[in-house]
Amino acid sequence: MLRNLITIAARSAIRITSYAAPKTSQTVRSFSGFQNQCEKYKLIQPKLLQIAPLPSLTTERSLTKFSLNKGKRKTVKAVLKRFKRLDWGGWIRTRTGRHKKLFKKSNALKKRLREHVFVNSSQAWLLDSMVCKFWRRPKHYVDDPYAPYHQKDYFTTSRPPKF
Amino acid sequence: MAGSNKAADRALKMLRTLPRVEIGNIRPNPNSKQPTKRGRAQHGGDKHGAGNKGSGQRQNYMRLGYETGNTPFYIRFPYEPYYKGHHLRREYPPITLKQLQVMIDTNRIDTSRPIDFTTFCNTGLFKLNSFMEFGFQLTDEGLDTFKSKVCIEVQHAKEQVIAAIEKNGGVIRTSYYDPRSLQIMANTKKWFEKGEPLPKRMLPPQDAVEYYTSAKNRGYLADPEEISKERLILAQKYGYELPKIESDPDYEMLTRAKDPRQIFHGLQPGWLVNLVDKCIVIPKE
Repeated sequence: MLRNLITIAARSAIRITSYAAPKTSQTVRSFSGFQNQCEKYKLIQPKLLQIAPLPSLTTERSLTKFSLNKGKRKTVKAVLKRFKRLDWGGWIRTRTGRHKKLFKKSNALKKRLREHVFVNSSQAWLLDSMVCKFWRRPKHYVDDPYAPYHQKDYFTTSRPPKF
Repeated sequence: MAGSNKAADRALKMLRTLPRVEIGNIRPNPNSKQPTKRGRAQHGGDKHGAGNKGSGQRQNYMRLGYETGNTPFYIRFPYEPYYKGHHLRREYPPITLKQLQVMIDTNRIDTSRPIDFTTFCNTGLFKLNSFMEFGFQLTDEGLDTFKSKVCIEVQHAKEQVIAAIEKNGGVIRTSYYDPRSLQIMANTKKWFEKGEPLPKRMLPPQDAVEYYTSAKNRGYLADPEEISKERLILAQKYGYELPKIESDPDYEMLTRAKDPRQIFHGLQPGWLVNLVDKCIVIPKE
């Protein structure tokens, strides 16, 4: 029994190191604010703490169909960070590489990268099922810059019902 | 005849002692049950709809959005703050001037009394769908065909809408209601049936104070003198002659305004409406 516990502990320790080791450069970059704070308090901080690796968290970005507490579907937050739903059911997104190596891209390409584009219908179906009802409801904000895009009244089938 | 009656009596007597037919003592019809096991080879055989070989046969349904090792579509693109601060943004569902005109023409709304949030809810055509919605905004569709003199209170209105109302001799006011007050106004009868005294209406949150104290927006916390000045300025800007409210026969109705702490016209906070005895209970102090 005791031996088993020890082996488990050893295994978990290995796992921690293996997770933390390749990610150190990334964590330093992503916690730049934290690093600045460290520099501020360098004199007070003991040396041991600096050597210890920062705890790295793994992110869970898949869909939860039944939550533990209430058994409800949960929204995938990664979707909301990258996409926006329009009231008629379409979704818009940014373009990949729009901040990368701009010095060697032509003006025309840079202009195209600045634009937001629609996703296709099967992707819209995917995103619709990854968010909950709250996000599929139209939002009536005042001075919404997306207001002109929320209604699609140039097709007779998608025109909103008359009052 | 008598013999058969006796037999029937005996049968009924026996029936009384027998247990009732219920879920615990009934059994399915013969041959009506399907076997739960998927038989293999000679015991049923075949693939049972799962196909031959691979992912389909093993029925390992992939999680939504997973692309077998590719960077999934839903995490492929850079971030964009589309929904930043959405939990703090108040929503105001729109009511157009055209809809307002239609409701007045079809007698859903009575223009001889002030129109407010309760009036819109009582038409049965509008309601709030979310806790993030803080009342209605009046929008400019049907601006040119709007021809009614109204005293209206909405939660948000644009400049051209204000001009359209005032051009027709009406009065518009924008006012803030906290979620609890909105609930009370939306389900008036349900609230009065509770038999509780009316609460105070809350003052607007910090980011809404500027809007509701501005005379340009006809805010309910703005200085009335400033508002009358702004009415004149707007009339000059849009080029119409401002109708004189002072000489209007409905002057009393048009200038009727609620206290910033008041929810209903004619009812003060702390008062209690008794629906059973049809009376209003007013506290002494």
